[in-house]
Parts: sequence; C-alpha cells; structure tokens
Amino acid sequence: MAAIRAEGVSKRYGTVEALRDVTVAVDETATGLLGANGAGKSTLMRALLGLVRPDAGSLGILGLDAAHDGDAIRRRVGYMPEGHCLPREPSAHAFVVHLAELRGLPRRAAVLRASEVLFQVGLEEERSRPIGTFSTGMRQRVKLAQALVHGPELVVLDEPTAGLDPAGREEMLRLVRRLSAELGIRVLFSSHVLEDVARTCDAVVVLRDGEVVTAGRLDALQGASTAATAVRVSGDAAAFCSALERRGLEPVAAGDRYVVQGADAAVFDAIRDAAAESGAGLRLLAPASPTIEDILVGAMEEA
Amino acid sequence: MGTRVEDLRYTSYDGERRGSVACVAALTRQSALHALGFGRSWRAKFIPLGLIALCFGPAIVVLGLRALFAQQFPEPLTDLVPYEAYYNVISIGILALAGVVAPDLLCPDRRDRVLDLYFATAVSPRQYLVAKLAAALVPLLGVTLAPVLFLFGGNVLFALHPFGYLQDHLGDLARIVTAGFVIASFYGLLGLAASSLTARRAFAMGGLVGLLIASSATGGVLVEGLGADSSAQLLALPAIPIVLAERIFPDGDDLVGVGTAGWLLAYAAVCVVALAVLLFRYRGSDE
Repeated sequence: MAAIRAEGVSKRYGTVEALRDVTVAVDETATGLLGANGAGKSTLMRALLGLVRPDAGSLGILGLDAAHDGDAIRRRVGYMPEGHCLPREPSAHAFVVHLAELRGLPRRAAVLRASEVLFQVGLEEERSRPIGTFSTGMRQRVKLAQALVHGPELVVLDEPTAGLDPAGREEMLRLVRRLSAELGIRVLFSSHVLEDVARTCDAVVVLRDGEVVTAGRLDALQGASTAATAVRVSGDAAAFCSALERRGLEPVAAGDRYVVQGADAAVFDAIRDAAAESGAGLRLLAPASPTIEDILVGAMEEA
Repeated sequence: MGTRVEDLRYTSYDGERRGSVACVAALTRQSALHALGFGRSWRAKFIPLGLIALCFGPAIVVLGLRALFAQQFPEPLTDLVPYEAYYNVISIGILALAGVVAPDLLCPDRRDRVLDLYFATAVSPRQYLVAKLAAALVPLLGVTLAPVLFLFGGNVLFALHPFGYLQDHLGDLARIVTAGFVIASFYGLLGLAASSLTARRAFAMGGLVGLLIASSATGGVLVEGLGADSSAQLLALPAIPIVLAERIFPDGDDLVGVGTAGWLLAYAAVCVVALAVLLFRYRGSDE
C-alpha cells in the first residue's frame, strides 16, 4: 500500500475549488509537492493530516484513513506548517518539549528528544533563547525540530524554505535531504520552487489549479523523455557530420553544437569514430536530454 | 571526576506514547503555569500571584486577630468574615484575576497562530478547550477556594477541640469546595469566551472587565434607580456566581429577593452561552 494515497479528492472553499478530483499514490522516501501559490498544495497536506475535510474522495497516509484516523496520523506524522506559527515567549527547547508532550511523549523522553532534534537542526547553542528573538531561518529550524521530535515515520513540510535568505535556504534544503537520505524519515515537501524539489526529493507531484498535472519518480520522468547527446567539435564540422551520417546518426545543428538522438555507448562510440575519421577535435560531449524543469513545465503547459 | 560523553545523534523514538488524556493534561499544566507566570518575566508572575496573595488577606487578618486577641473579644472573631461572605469581600480580586488569566490562556496562541501546530498534534480543538478551561480553573481556584480553605483550616487549628470542630463542620468543607468551583467555573468560562473573540490580550481583558462592570451597573440602575423588578438583578453578571455560592451555605442570606432557582438559571444560561461561543470559535479550521 502506498505511503500517501489520494483518490478523487475534491475540496471547495466558497467559490474557490482548492482541489479537483486529485488522485495520486506516493511511495517514495522523499516526494515533492510542486505548484504555484494557490495550486492546492497546503490544502492537500492539511487534508492528509485530517485537518481539512475533503468534500469528496478519500485520503490515506501510512495505511491510515485521514477521515477517521486523524489522531493516529498526527501522532505518527510530523507537520511543519507554512508561515509564522511559533509563540514568542518560550525558549526553543521549552516549546519543542511541550509539542513532544502533546504528541504523547512522557516528559523525560520529551526533554531528551527535544535536545536531540534541536542539535540535529543546528540550534543546540540557541535552544534556551526565547523564540521571539530568533531570525526567520532559526524559526524555520524550530518548526522543523518540533515536527521531528516525536520520531515520526513521515514529515510533512509545507514550504520550509519560504522567507529564507540564500544561505538559510541552502541549509534548510540540506537538512530536508538529510531526513530521507540519512535518517530514514519519509518526507512530503511542498514548494513552488522546482529546484528545491529536484534537490531534495526522489519523486514529484505537480499540482496546478487544484489538479494533478503529473506525478512520478524524477528519474523516471526524465528517462521517459527521448535521450539525446550534444556534441561540439573544432575543425571540419561538415566532414564530421558526414562521418556521423555514414554511421546512421542524424546530427541536428543547435547553435554552436550538434545534437544526435540517443545517449548510449553505441552512440558515443560512433561519435568518437566520426571525429577520428574526419580529423575534427571533440570539444563537448554531453547529455542533451530535456531537464526536469523542461519536462515539468511542458507537462504544466499541456495540462 | 569522570567524563560523560553525550551521544546526540538522531535516533528514532520507540518509547512510550501516551493517550489523549495525558496530552490534554500536559497542555493544562503548561497553560496553568504560563497563566501564573512561571518561566516568564517577574511582571508576568507578579500580577496573578499578587492577586492571589491579596485574596488571602482577609483570611490572614481574621486568623491573625484571632491568634493575637481572641481573649479580648466576646464574639468569635471568625464571625467577622463567615465563609459565605468571603466571596463578596474578595469579589474584585476574583474579577481582576479572571481578567488577567483568561486572556493570557487564549490570546497569545491565536495571535502567534500556534493553533495550527496544536491541532496538527494529537490535540483536537475541543480537547484544547478542555485543557484551557482546566488551566483557567487552577489560578481561579487559588482565589475562590484556597483562601476559604485556609480560613477553614485556621478555624480548625484555633478551635478548642480541633477534631470536634472538623467533625461538626465537615459539611462546611464540602460547601467551600463546591462554592469555589461554582465561582471559578463561571469566571473561567466567561473569561475564556470573551478572550476567544480577539487575539489581543488588552482587548480581551478590557472587554471582560467592561462587560462585568456594565452588567452590574445596568442591574443596579434598573432595580435601585428605576424601580424595576428585583429579577433585573440577574443582569449583574458578577453577582450571579457570588450569590449562588453564598446560598450553598445554610446561613447565606436571601437579601436580593430573587429565588435560588432564578440565580441557578442565570448561572446556567451564562455558562451555556459562554460554552457555545467557545465551541463556535474553536470549531476547527475546516468546519
């Protein structure tokens, strides 16, 4: 059974249709929920946690039904909401301890776990400072720490890089990647920045206007498109192209380079032999497949 | 001296996970301590703890006089402030504490949008309300129950036969506890309901105190000034729990001219309205 499952989920707020017949199954360790602001990412996340009741359809997370097992889900899942949601007065440590207790941890365990996760997110030095004195980046880390403190099987991170400066964003992305890659925690990560998702996730679900545009593993999405190789040569380019054509390849000029279909060993051998035969110098040999950005933008435009 | 090496690597948690009751208890404890100013600045502690100390004042004075000058007075000095009259004496203190504590319990969570986090844990909006109401009762019982219990304890100690006094007045003990909860519950519910309407502590405090004073003035003017029926006294919100608490005691006077059933009805009506406001304001983000 998929770790995250949505079947025909729709949700409307007044005249706004936040989710429209969303059907998706996710079982990757780290999955990105990608879409512009207002695409329905936060609504889908909140529905998965049982915080929002869908008008139609069903949602499941870790084998539990979001409509009926909200309590159990919220104990096994960590949630980092978007935007400001931290109190000003308590220290980071006191607040994370408190949230751990609210998730059912006994006080002693909560205190130990809070120290542990604050160390993991890089707040061990500042843990006794009031949260109100923290920078945006530090607040984001406190939010991440509280989402991890009860040892969740899955963390739902809603725009964790929002409002961060480049250095803070870099650090947050590194932390998020570490969750799935090193700590073995499943991650559902929402962002409107493709690069963030591509760097931290194995799979992506793309939403637009409340609908799923495309979903799948990033490598599979990339592999599904036709592979190609870009070549740039010095010397007699015409002789090089003729030599390629004699080997059954059709070079297509693209600026200062040529693109040939295929990206396997046979193609590379043919390019090498054509260069040797024509006396041309090989200056560039690189994949010319569309980037994940090209693929996702194309899918969004098609939808 | 040995060296201890701490291993702070992240590990998954496989230990005990408590149920909802423990989660609500944790929220209650944290909220009650916050309302009393623990873990906060001295100013946050000073006001609630000062008010509680003030409400002990009459009991301390009475017991002190009795300890020092009992022989010089023909009447028992404890009769100066009988249990049923104590609530009236400290009514301003109760009102002020409710005005301080209730907004502190709800407004910061709404202002800082912490509710999103709370409701994403194992605590539902209704459990949150239960915890906050229980947390409001802790400091309020510090003024509606603790000083009267202190007075009762002093009377037991100063009695010629303490055990005999205790045996004879066990009924009073039950009445003191009941009256304490009656007043604390009323102010707790009313204070939280008023505080649930705003994210600003000052507005909540002003609104609650204003409502209580305005209702009191309205009831007074209608009865005393305009000669309205005595049942108009029921409009005076601060009087409702105090009169009801007084009538729990056998010597509680029926000075106001409205039957106990009337006060009970007014008490229930206010509590139901306050509860309805709270349930509406915390009906969950999606409902």
